[in-house]
Amino acid sequence: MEPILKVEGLTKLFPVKKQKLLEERRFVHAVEDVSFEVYQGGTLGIVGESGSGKSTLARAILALTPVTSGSVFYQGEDITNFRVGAAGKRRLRSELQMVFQDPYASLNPRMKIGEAIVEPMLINGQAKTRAEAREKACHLLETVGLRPEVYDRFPYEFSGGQRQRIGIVRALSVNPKLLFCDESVSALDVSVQAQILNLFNELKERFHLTYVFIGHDLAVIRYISDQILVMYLGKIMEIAPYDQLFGEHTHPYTQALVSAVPEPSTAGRSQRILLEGDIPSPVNPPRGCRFCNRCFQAEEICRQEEPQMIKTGERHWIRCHFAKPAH
Amino acid sequence: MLRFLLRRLGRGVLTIFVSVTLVFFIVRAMPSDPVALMISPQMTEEAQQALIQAYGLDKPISVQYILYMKELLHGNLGTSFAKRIPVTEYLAQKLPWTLLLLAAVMVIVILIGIPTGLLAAAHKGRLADRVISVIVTMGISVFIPFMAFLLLFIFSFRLGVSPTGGAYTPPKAQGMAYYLDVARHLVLPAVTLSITNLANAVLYTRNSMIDVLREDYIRTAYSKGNSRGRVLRVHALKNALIPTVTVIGMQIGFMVGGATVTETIFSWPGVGRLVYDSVNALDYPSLQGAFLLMAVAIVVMSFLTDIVVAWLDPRIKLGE
Amino acid sequence: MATIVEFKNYSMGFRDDDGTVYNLLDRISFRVEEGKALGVVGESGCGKSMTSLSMMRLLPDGAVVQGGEILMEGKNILDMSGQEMQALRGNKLSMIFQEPMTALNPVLTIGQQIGEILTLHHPELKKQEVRSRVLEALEEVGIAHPETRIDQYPHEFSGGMRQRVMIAMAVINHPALLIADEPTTALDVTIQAQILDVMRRLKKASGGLMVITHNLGVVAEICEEVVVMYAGQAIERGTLKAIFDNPIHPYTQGLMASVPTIRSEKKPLYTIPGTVPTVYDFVPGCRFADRCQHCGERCMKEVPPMRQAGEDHLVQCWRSDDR
Repeated sequence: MEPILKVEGLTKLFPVKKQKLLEERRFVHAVEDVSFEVYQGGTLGIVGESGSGKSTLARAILALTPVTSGSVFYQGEDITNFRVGAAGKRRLRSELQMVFQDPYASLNPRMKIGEAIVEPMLINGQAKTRAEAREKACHLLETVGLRPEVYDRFPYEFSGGQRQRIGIVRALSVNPKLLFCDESVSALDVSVQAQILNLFNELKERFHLTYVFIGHDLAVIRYISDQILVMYLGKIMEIAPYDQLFGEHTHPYTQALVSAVPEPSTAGRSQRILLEGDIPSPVNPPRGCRFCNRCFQAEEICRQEEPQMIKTGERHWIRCHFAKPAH
Repeated sequence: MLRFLLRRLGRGVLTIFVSVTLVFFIVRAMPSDPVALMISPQMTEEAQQALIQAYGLDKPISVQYILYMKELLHGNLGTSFAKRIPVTEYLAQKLPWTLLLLAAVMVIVILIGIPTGLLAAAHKGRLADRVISVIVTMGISVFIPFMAFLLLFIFSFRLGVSPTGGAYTPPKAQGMAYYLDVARHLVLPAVTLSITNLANAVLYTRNSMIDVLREDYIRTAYSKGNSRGRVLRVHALKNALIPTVTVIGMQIGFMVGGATVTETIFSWPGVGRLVYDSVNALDYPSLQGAFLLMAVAIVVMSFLTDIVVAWLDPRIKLGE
Repeated sequence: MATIVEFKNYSMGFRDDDGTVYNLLDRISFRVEEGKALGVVGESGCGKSMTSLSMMRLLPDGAVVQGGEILMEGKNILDMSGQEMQALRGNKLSMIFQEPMTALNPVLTIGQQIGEILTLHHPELKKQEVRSRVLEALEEVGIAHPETRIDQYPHEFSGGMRQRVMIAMAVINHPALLIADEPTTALDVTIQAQILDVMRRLKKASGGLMVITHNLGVVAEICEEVVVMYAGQAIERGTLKAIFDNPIHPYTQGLMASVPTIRSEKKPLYTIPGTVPTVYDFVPGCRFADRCQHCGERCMKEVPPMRQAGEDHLVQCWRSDDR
């Protein structure tokens, strides 16, 4: 089966402003050599801490920031930087949608909710007339659990959870196939977050969507995804099926991440892995393995040589010198 | 640090060059002929021609400009049309008086303006703040000549406690008596000139203090057991002064160029008065000299301001 | 076991621009015991931050205390003079705030900021003593090279390091009560783990700890006692075990069930319908009533009394049987 989204060796470097005239040109290694595939109907979770490049990765795929090198394929077609002609670009702009952390920031405060939803539908040709668009928008509002009356209200009248529902309606209004959700539930209260996560799962079935879910909360990402991509300082550390995130057969960083998540239970926890130090700056990533200076298993080779992605099992890759390859 | 100095120097020279050039042409765009003013009918034809040539007024403007810039590089600002003395000398006579006035204004602004701004911020929304805000608004919007004449009328004509103009009563007194006499003459122009500057300083200090008092670290300071006074003094003041310092620095720069209106009304013999006289006499070189002085002062003050701000705020590193 | 702090039917609210007072905290009661950590849990708008600021008597303008007592070692702090409070703050009562990036003064060095809290309450200390105690404190919270770090400014520290500085500052006078308001919310998860580790270690340096958070995991990590807040009411409290293993209030049950955990199964999450009400739409009775599946007529009208639901377990709900 052909993947709906395939990313190959994607790299995004941001130049750093030079301090001295004769200084060597330096770059923020935001995303480096990232490759993965997402299949129709799947959910890929991308998890990482600050500086991991997870949001830049999504923006680079969606051509919101130009790619430095590497390629992006959508349904087999090379769409890197959306260099596909005007018609193709319009199709991509509707089939690939993004839901942000705070949809309020992307809504015009003086524009009625309905207008904000209808506008992209008319631009992208999902509706011929305003009346048709309105009907469709109201239907979608009901689908996500909002009363159609909200159509004529303004963004400030809504709570965080409701705004996120509106953000989702806006994304869904143009018949997307692939939805990128960047920290889409992070700002919400726990009880509302559960509602929205359930909603995402329902919509996926109903509209045959594929998700790329980006976030810092491993528990949430794991819950919603079937494949998890763990990023650290711009590089993939591990790609693993959601149920294989635990135990020794994972990347040391994943182990530390799993161990760092505080669990809301009274059962005593197993030995905690505490990483030392801070996340290094992506301007100056360590030599060798990106994780070497905080890794509890690091040896000399890790500081000298960058490890390759090693396939350790079915749909499971680890970037570590000590990973055991699958037979 | 050296890189910072060099870059600021380069920028300063460029600023001065541009302003000198602009002033040169703007002055010459005035709709009058200086020659007509300089020459009296009694002069012989030869004498007239000699005078015109001596000041280079017979040459085209572009040539005059090049000559002026060339002389400028040698520190020669030309000769005053009106006074027939070098402009540098003319400015040197007037500058001390302007600096004296400036110093008096700054003392008032700093000693009264900053504390008043802080007081208003500390009592935000309460009576003291409202009274101060009303006065500040009046201070900013007051028409300076009107204010000057009002002060003159009350203190000089009605009460007779202040001299009506000049910097001292001729003949010049000796020793302490002279200084006291100058001080008496200084009061009215200094007060007049302070009004707008003071109002601005109060406003800036008040607003930046109010912003600072909303910061999280102020709450942290209270949570440590600091008294209100100590929070204001130790935690808020330094942060709040950063924008005020910038504003005051710029004000000083402008004022070196003289306060034309105030100095003229009070016949204060400073650079502002020089500008007024030079405009009347179409004294191009003196006007240019005064504006050059102002440009240099602004460049120097903005440099000094940056250094003071960097000293107040450790997040700012010079040269970055 | 001594009680360090007790909230007794404490109520507070806000005065609107037109003078109307809206109640926020409604007769909340709980205790912090010596040597124990109490977790105050709730979603946004539940009043947990107002609880900590009430304890510090640092409520924002417009806040009004409406009744009750806050007892610190037996004395009601609401009756204390400004000077008495100053002597308490930073000494017997200290606080760590949520935003390490903005909670430190940008123009003072770390050493000056930590040193200040010492000299304020121990003016007799000599300069050299202050410095060496600050160095010790920095070392204790895991800051490497304290001799250089002490003279640096906040912008030279990462978020995690700044939070360590905040902790060093808060515990240096060995407070009777340490309040931590969302101490790790702004941090990355691996850094959060470090900070929780520091806090667990230093818990002993203070008499009692009050952790304000929305994160149930953080509570489980460092607290022994829990109070659950909802819309300004303290609806359930007890030991960590009682609350987490046997939640009784429908809101607590819903909250526990709706959090995906790192090992949770892939089935739909439990959800509480609706959203947290704002101060303007509080009902006179139980404020959770309109979202509650067990809501009865009485619930909307009358606030239920706090009743014993087990040993070390209290709940404020009209339902008499436990589930």
